[in-house]
Amino acid sequence: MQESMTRAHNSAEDIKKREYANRLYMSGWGVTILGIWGAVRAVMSIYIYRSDIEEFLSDGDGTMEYKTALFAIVTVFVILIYALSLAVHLFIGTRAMAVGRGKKRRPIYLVMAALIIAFSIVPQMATSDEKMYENKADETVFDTAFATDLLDLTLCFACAEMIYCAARIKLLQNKREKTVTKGTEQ
Amino acid sequence: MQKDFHYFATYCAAYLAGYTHEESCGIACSAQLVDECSPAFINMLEAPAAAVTTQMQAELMDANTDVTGLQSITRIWASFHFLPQDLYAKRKKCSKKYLDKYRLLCGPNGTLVKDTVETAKGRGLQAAGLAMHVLADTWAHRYFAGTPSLVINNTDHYFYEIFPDGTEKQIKFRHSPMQPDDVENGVYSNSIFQTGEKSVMNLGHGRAGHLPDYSFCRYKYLPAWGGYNEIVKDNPSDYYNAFCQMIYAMKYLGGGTDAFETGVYDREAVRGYEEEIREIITTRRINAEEAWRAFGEKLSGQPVPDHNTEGFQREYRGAAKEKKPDTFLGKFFTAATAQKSMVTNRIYKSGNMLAGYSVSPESSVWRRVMDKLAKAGEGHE
Repeated sequence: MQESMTRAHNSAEDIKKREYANRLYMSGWGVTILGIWGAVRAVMSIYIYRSDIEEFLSDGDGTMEYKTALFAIVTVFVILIYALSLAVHLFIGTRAMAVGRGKKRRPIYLVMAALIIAFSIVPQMATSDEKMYENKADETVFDTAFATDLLDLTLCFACAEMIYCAARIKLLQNKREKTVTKGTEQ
Repeated sequence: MQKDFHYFATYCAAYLAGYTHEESCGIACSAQLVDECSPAFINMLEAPAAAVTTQMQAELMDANTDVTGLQSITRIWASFHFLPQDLYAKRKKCSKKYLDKYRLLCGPNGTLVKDTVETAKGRGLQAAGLAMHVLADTWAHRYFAGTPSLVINNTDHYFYEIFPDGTEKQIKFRHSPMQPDDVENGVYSNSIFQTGEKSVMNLGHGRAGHLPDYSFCRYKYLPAWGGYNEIVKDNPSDYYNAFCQMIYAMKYLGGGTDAFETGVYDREAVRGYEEEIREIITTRRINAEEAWRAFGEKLSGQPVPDHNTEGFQREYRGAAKEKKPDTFLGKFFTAATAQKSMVTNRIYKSGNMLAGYSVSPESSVWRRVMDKLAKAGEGHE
């Protein structure tokens, strides 16, 4: 009874694997939170820009009913887009958190994380930054644009971290399986 | 640890160390008193405030967590329940602030354990009992620190109970302190996660619930300080070592041996009783009071009384002021003050301010201060 019945598993690979699993879990949390924030921001945008919407409805050609119907269609479409975005974020985030906690999931969420990075970076590269901020400064929305870009950057970082950690975990698992197989063969 | 070990097991160890039944009861009572001597207990008796050895949950909730409040909490918990193992431990790539907390990690066989036992030498049964409480807790509470700290004492989802057949089951803690743990079904409570670094919820082993206090339990987890290293806690082994070490320590305190060295366990004294002790320690139950009591009564042939300090409280209250230190509780309070002074001073001398400033108990300054306080009729921390 004086000796411990079990020994701790603290090889370098075990420790690294736990660290990457924890980081994967945290990045999953980050993507989930940012996805929820995106949905909240969409709802807030509709509320904040309601005066612009009312102005649109009262000005220009077309009957009130036509404009209202158009507005309703656009709103529903926008809501569907944001709902889809939220669903994608939640899917990626919850999958990453599950894998971080040791469960097995298909790596499709990593592909989607890579797509998020691509869809975040490509539009930024396609548009000149200076021009973008210049326009936004004219419209006195520079602050919100800057904050939005920061959050997008954070999201990209979280997705990149997720992909990196998942890859490292897979490598460590493969290395262990090879070691076990070699040991069995010997 | 709980009353089953601090009172009844300490009684058994004292008897095996050669103390009489009455002396063993006195030692056991003092050992258990360390878990009861709270500020409310001290205030009720109008005893020296410096003799506080614990804080009840309600008192902790009301405790200040400013600098001096944290120092006060650390002085109590590090001195009596989470004795630091290595005040000069090294750790790479960390701030001084972090290192100070890391150095308060509790563990057995540190130099402070030796100092604790030697401080109790020649100070009577009360000091012996107090030292045994501290010694036993270094085994049960190892890997936790007696200061509120999230980055040291926190745990996470990676918490598994290990059963005797080698299987493991993940523990999902609940946060209902009023409901007792269901050890049969492996349902345990712990303190709620608090993001505040210095929250009292992050004091000691709160984040691991009562698991360190269950002698039957084996578990593995990732402590916050561990850098993703897994810790396997084998309570049956630790409790057995604690029991044997207590016997050895009490033989020293009783004059049976010349010196106390760490890492020594008196396994000879328990020869013939190993199976019985193993049975008590490994049986799955919330507390093993009756089992230890039965074992103690078998050893001594006399009934082991329930732990009750009413008589000692009456004695203390009824004694004249100058006679109070000579009462049972008076001697306990003196031993507690000495222990706290010693530990706080060691922590301070190591360059660690988490327990605050300390004057050496051997210094003339300290003696002058204590004389003045004694004349003023007040205790002071």
